[in-house]
Amino acid sequence: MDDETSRAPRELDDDADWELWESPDAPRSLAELVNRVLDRGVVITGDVTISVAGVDLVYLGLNAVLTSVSTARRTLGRRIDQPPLR
Amino acid sequence: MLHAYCIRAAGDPPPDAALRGVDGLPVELREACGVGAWVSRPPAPPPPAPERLVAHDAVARAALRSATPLPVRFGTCFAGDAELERALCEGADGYRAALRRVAGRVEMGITLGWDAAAQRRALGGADADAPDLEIAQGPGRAYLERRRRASSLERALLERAEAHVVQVRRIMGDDLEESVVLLPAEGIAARMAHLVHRRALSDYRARVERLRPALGDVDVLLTGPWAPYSFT
Repeated sequence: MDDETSRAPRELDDDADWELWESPDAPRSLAELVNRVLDRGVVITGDVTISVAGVDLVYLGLNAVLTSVSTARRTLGRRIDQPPLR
Repeated sequence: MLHAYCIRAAGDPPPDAALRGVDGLPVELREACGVGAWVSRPPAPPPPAPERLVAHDAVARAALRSATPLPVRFGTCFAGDAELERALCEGADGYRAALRRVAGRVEMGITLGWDAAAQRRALGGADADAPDLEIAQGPGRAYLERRRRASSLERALLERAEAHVVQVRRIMGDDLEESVVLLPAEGIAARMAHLVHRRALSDYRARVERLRPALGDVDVLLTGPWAPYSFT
């Protein structure tokens, strides 16, 4: 049984598993990436400068795959976090 | 100025010396209070242009190769090393707990796409602006009736999206930790993320293949492996 707390490097069994990643050049995958990098992830508190300057420009620049900022803010959606079932 | 990509447990492998991050900057490890962070040193906080977002995630994915990190939201910058170390120390207990939670696992994404307009038509939304409302009820009541119909339609759309999520759970099995966001009005019925053990990805992929024929006109987009953005 693998020790999930082990800190030893652990590669995936099959290199092909990493190739599940659809190219970030593909519009739909880019939208998934942007959603994660801008809207998810750890927000570190403390003596921090959060850079949001120009975020409107990002959305305008990507309007082929994203909505406008105002629509995106309105439709960030309802989040349902399912607790672990096991 | 330090730009942070991800948080690592003490003892996790450092970034490869050849790794480059946002704006082609080198990536280094900084450690404090039993946790580490992969960072670059830009002259100023980098604006979130698409290529920078891709580069930011690429560093998190490079870290993911050796040990699951906590990916940091883009744009998290620190004035200097002292500020970063202070922030790491203040949150160290929480970061260590979160790292234990995600250890050995990666995030996989399933996005269920649909034609929202077609869904509305199927739910009987074509008559939301029926001209007969004005004639039958007068402008004021007609306005309220249109608002009521639109609200009912959006609720029905949400319920249909939730039904698809239930269907996905039934097919994928109930042993997956998940995070779900419903966005039925914008062409995405649901955006789901699962935390999957590294050695179970082939099995996960096989489960996803069973989704596509089962969900009919719902488009299934599989992405990943990601660092666990949705589980931090």
